[in-house]
Amino acid sequence: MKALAENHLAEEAQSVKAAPAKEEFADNVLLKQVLQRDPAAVKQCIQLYADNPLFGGTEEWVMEDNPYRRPVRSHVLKYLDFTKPLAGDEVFNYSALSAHRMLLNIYESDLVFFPEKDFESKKKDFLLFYSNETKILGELVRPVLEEHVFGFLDTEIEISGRWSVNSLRSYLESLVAEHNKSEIAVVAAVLSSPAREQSAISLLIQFAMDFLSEASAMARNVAGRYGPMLSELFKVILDEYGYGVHQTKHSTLFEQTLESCGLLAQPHAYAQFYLTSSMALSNYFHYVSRDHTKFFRFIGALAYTEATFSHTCKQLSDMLRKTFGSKVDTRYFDEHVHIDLHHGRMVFEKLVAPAVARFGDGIIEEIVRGIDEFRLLARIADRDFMEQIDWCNKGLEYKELAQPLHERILSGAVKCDKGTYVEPLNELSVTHVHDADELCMVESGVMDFVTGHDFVVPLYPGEGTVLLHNRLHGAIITSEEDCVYHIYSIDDYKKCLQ
Amino acid sequence: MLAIEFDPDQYNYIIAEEKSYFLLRLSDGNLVIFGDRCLHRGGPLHLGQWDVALNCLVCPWHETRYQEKVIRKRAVPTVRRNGRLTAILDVAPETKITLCKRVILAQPC
Repeated sequence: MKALAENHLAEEAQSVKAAPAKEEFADNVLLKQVLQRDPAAVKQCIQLYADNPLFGGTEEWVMEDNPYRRPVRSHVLKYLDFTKPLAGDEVFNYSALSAHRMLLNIYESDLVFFPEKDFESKKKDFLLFYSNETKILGELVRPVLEEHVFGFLDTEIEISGRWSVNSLRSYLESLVAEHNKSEIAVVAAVLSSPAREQSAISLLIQFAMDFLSEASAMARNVAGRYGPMLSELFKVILDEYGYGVHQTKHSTLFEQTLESCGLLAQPHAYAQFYLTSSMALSNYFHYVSRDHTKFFRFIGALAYTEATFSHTCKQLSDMLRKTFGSKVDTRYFDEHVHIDLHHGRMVFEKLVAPAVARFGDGIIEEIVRGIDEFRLLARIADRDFMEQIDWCNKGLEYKELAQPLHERILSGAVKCDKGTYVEPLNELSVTHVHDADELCMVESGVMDFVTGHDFVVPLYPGEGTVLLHNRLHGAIITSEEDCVYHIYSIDDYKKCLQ
Repeated sequence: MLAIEFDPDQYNYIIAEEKSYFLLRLSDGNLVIFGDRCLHRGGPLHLGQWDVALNCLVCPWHETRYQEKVIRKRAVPTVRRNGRLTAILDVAPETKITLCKRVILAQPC
């Protein structure tokens, strides 16, 4: 660890907060403390990981053609505690967002990414992203972050009773039947949105996180040797990877969907607009694929996903055509409508059932856990997206609430903490959430208040907006003069207005 | 069209540039030449399995089934004479042909 201060990681970190002093890095002590979940040691390690220049601030909402740069807003991590699992009602909190951003980076350091152009100018980033130092730090903090964001699943889901492969099959079939009768919640949210195109784009952005490197988590499970099941899983991957023909690779089809809607098809170009729960869905597959003790959860989650995605994709395809007309390329979704009819069957009959036959009924609990953990995360993600789209659509309403709220604060009717900030032109506040409601009031200068890709509310002097708890937002200063603004920690805006 | 002649004891797989074929001995002992790409998604049919109960070839990728009567109907036109097989492939006359011997899993017996 001492060597870290001397290597290129520290050399690159010119504009980042000062790295911890060398004397704090007593190699064995820090390592032991992190493994024992000592809060101070964990915080130090996480800070060190997040202080990587690749994960620092940015001046643009969209990161063009650099798969290595992913902001995590490291300067606020010192206020967050990652050492305990979040409760089910805390999954949209700021620490969850931060943890998932870091986990995404950690998991993806196992995957190969290259920029489309100008590799030479991005080579330092490439070397740093895949450096041993970055990976070692990521590996140290990974279990802490996983426990923080996925630990609640252990308590939210309880499985009991004596399971057999027949009861497992019946259970999965009942879930699939229920899903296949349902209207997909996020589709309904888009179709009912007054800003339908922007909402659909917001949804595509959530998918982009995973679909542009589709099946990478799954592919972690075909290295090694475990008999015919491995080959059966490989067949699914064969389909996902388009039989080695790049134009038919599923990720390529999704690139074409994005481009047909005017979006960049580069990995994580829109990372700032990833919702916490969307990252949770993608990270979950890495979580259960990277740790092979969770292999049976992986096949459970895969069985459910593959068996239900056909129905989901049918509705997504229809929604995209209703929204964008004939210009949208829906082949990604149309392909899944067909192929997942096979995958649903293949995964259960050729992976799950043989696994139970080979390893015994004792693994079924883990398989069921995988099914239900993924279902729960998917429901949470639906809710997160619907609430975010609602928040985006009501930008002007929340802006109008600022004045009455501010008056109540100024009159003393509402007492709260206040922070004042001064930021220059083009200063961009990387997207984030707050755990409680806040009020932002602009005193001078102008800021664009951003709640999603193309969801912007300009705020002029004297104007402001409610910052709804758990809702993703950011801001950028657009005035030549510095912008002075105040943040009031109002906790619950509705109570403040009573 | 291209006619090729070969010894079926020596070769059981034909590569005609983009297309490939394999030899399949059916339940009555007849030797047929069948296209190796599954019509569904191009799976390698020579690595499929023969379902004895249903008397059909099953693709190894997605289990698309080919009844024996369908195989007979779609097989490449061939003539066997003096231990040699002549096959008429639906390819351009100048197509490069490679003959080889492969493991064929798809056999009725």
